[in-house]
Amino acid sequence: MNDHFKIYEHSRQRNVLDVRNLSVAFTGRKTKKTVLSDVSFSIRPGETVALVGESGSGKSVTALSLLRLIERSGGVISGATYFTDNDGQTVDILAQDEKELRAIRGNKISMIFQEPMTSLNPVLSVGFQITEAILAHRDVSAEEAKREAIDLLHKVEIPDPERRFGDYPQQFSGGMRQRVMIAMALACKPSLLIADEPTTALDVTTQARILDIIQRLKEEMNMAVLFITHDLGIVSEIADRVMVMYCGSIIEKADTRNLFNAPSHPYTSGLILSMPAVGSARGKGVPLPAIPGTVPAVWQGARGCTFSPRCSYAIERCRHETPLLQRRNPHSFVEVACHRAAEIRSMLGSLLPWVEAGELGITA
Amino acid sequence: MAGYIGSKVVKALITLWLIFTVAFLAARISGDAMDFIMPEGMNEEAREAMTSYLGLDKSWLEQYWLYVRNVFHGDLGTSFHFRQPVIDLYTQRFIPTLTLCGLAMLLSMAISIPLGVIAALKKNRPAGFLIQSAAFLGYAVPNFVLAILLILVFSFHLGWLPSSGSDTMMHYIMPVTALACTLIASLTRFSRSALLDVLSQDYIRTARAKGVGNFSVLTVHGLRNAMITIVTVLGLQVAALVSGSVVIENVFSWPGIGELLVFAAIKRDYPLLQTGVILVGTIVIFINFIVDVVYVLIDPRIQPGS
Repeated sequence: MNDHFKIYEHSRQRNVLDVRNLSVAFTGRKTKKTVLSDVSFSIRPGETVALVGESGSGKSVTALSLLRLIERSGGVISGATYFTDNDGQTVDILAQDEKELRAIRGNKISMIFQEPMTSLNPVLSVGFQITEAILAHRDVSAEEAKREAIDLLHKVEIPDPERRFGDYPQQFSGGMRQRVMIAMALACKPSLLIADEPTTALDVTTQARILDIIQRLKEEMNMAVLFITHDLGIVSEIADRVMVMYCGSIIEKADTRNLFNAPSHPYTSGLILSMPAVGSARGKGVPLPAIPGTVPAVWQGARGCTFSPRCSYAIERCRHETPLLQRRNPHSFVEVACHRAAEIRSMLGSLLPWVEAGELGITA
Repeated sequence: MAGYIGSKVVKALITLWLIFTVAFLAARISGDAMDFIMPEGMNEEAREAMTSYLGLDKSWLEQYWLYVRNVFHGDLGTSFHFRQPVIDLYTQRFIPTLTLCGLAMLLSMAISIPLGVIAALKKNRPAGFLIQSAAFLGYAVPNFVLAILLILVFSFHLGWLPSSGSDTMMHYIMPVTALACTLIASLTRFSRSALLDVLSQDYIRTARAKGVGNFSVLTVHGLRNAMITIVTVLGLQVAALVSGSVVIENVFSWPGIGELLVFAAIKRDYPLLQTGVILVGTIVIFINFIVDVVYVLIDPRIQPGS
């Protein structure tokens, strides 16, 4: 066993999640569409990592693959996903059988979804749906499970939980349903919570409350969170680290502060610059800078940078050679997949003055 | 709940009144009862005497009024042909028809829901394809054709089952099967598509993400929701089932309403026909009422009375 591997093994011990070269493809009779290619990342215990990107970039596919929920829709997963629970036990999720997976889902890794309106079963009471999560994993009596479920409803700040226990999802508002989803997800105190755009379908006030609840419970339960969103404003508020996804690949990884102050990838800076800020002079009368074009549904080209067709900095090399995700420089933890990252960064300079002046819709 | 049942009863009575009115008119428009009651070549005087004896010399409106009034006094009339109160003729026959239809319904559900589940789970596999094809075939075969085929095979050639009557359990097998066939076929197809639809819903993904086992996902989360569609379809098919029973009863000489109803229609026995139609209507409404109650039980979004 060489030293490099030992170090890797060591670092792996400390991470809740270690995703190595995760790829997902959907195969038809003749076609094979790769929607996720060689995604690698890790999450440390108690950390909030944001996965950002436009619709169709592969964020949700990543989330669903982590719990192996994508296979039923025909997705083929490859790579490795090492998961270490709070007791220090490590398993490769991709090597687990159905029974072992069930023991992880909702127990050690939980997930909340984007649509609280459709993610709860309309014919079952919310109380039943929460106790079901408890009873699926733990050997407790029905009364004990009910007591815990009411306690959970209390924790997610649902008023009068005893009375609302027997109510059905349609008797709750969107925000309240998302709280129920959170209560359900946290029923077994998971080591990792995957939140797939949990606030996207909610109005802004409700959004803030839900984020507060997730943040508070995350700290209470010492849980890591993979937060998937396309809202950079939310990222700047809650995430420790950010991963930017484009067309099925991670193109930049950085700690939140670094990412917003000094984005390395032209796509990331494009995303940040296109954000309006409340009360900012920027964007008044003049259109906000937008990234031209749209995300391709599935990357067709065999080689080259997936962003190159939309990139104003693209050179010949970008169209022929796929840039790999690598450290910006040997001393930095920022990783970026761009041939011209260094040049572009010196051209753009830091966005810090903009951020500090409140010109961007994010907080420094 | 009392108000809910009350409004259902009122609606049922209005429906029955409409059904009766249509039957009353249809029977009279389609032919004169006297042509069937009087033998060929009877003299005019006897015919007229008979006509006035049966009250058929009065105008339709008068007959209608008299009949409705009598019904409210509990008198459903006397059969022209049997010279007996029709109510007595039907009392014996109501239960066999209800049994036949009820058993056919239960059999359909017992067979088609599991088949639909298998077809949904084995989508794009040989088993699923086989069930789909069989259901299609079952749907395409008219039930009287199937009834005759069954008699040919199991009574005529093999001699295993009796071809007519309703005396033993053995007598039930063929009529119930023949009557249920179409419903089994259509319910199988609907169960399959309802379950496939439900299994693609977000809340099924949520249940799986919770770590709920496959069987629970299928039954507690999947079937419970699919049943809403299945029960709706069942409610719509009940009328077809009961009208199908009229044909089946005649093929198997089943001593039910249907057998007598066909006789009444052929002989233009107005009171017998009118009462039969009302009874068939009552059965359809009654089964639909049960369906509605089941509906409220499985879907909490439906509030009785609202």
